[in-house]
Amino acid sequence: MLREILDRRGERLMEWLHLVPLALAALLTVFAVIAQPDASLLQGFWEIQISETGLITDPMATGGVGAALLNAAVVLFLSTILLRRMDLPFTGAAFACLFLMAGFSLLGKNLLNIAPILAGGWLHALYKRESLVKYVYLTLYGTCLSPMVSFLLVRVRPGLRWVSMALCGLVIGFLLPAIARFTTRIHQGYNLYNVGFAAGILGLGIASVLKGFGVEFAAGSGWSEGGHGLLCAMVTLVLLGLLCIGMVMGCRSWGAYKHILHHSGRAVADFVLLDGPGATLVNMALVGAIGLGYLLALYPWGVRLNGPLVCCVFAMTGFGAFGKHPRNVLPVMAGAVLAALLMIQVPITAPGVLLATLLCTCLAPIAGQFGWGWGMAAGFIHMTIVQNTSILHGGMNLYNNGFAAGLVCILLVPIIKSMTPEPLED
Amino acid sequence: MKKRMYRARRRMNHVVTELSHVLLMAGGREINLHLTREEEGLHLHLEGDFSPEHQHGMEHMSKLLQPKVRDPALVETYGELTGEDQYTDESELALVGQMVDRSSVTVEPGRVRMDLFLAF
Repeated sequence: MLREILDRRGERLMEWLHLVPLALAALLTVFAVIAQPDASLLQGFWEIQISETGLITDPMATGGVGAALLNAAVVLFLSTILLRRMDLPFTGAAFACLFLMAGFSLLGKNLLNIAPILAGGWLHALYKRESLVKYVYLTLYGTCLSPMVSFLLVRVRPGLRWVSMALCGLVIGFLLPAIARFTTRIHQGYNLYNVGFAAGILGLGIASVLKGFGVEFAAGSGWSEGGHGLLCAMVTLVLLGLLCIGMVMGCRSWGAYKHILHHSGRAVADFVLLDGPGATLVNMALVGAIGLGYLLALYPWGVRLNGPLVCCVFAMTGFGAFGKHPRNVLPVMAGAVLAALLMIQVPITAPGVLLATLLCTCLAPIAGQFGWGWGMAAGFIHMTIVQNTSILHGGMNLYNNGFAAGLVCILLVPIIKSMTPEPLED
Repeated sequence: MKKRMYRARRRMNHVVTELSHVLLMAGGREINLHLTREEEGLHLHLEGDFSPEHQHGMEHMSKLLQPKVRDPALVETYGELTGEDQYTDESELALVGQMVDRSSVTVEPGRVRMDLFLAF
């Protein structure tokens, strides 16, 4: 009887989960208005839409802190509505996807450059004579190649720019789902940013073709430092909000939470389905707090929150619903920090290193499955590999860390498996 | 009437591989598989035994194979992960639960019975 009541209550809560990303979109909008309470907000918003993006550009440097937050809010709102209209359940996969959409709108995605890719995904579904529902995550994740769309919008001569950007986006959106399905087999679920790996390969192909025709990729860079206090307050509020909602949904004790820590995190580790929404939201808050705490610990060395860094915290938070938890992310981060400390040419506070330290946590399943030692090794190797992958796709893949993580898996997982003795069974 | 069976066939192969692997790992000595092609899809009836110490694990598997919600986008994204792998853990079983369209699993002491249906 009691179990039935709890089950019914759980099902009711599942129906309300879509309000969490909508609340986040509202919060982003409020902070956008606080940051730029005048007409510069809309002007900055438009500047972000038509500007060149890539690794590593900060839309907060392009259009202002408020405009970048507004851009993230709009992208998140529309993505949430898209999932809602398709009647998809709000599982951990949906949370991960939506937080990544919001986060990477603070690092290069905008309404204009994601639209053709989404249309390409829809064409893929049409070609396969299936509903877009099945491909919606792959398509939304696929917008990580949106800098390529912006690049063509800015660099191609006026008469052709709209056609070329639309065509490029359509091709990316159309091809990426097929590649992404295939790449899961390569890393076997140990890379949580699977589409980043697929997009890296596709980006490598497209960039190589374009380079062959004489196109030179040189993504502009931007790194703002002006909105630290406001962004700190906003991210803290988001994490506290998730924690509170999680507690309201039933995760009020260590006993209710601790089971999440026993998952390896290997895909598919959808914590909403496995452990319920309460424990998942608490875990999201904790994983995000690890990212935020790390960045704040580097404050004395000049690290200030900005678009790309908030993006990383959001990415960690989102995947707190889909594979990451404190026990499997910390060893990987430790390995990455160790590598950064030992490497001469990359200071630990360099933008790329900060991003890699937080986003290398997509390799958390390695720590979860094979132990903290291998997790540290994965983080260490990731930090070294990621320094050399961006050039392959011309900085056009926003999930460059997912691309590098895929390569780390190819290198590391077979070695780990060959060194792990076959278990003896009765 | 011609049907699109390729995907269902492939997925059922993944499901069979995964479940037989799990039952053998749980000390199963005999597994009976009965796979039928029906008008609307593939129907798998599976019955097998397991060692008593795996009772809790089998009950957990039963929950994973009968999820409260099914996310079709999740299956399309990660479906290839099921099947052949030396580390079978709950993530793959959760995925099997997501892949099938209908499932009914009964766990008794030392014995499990399941009916799984995968639509074309």
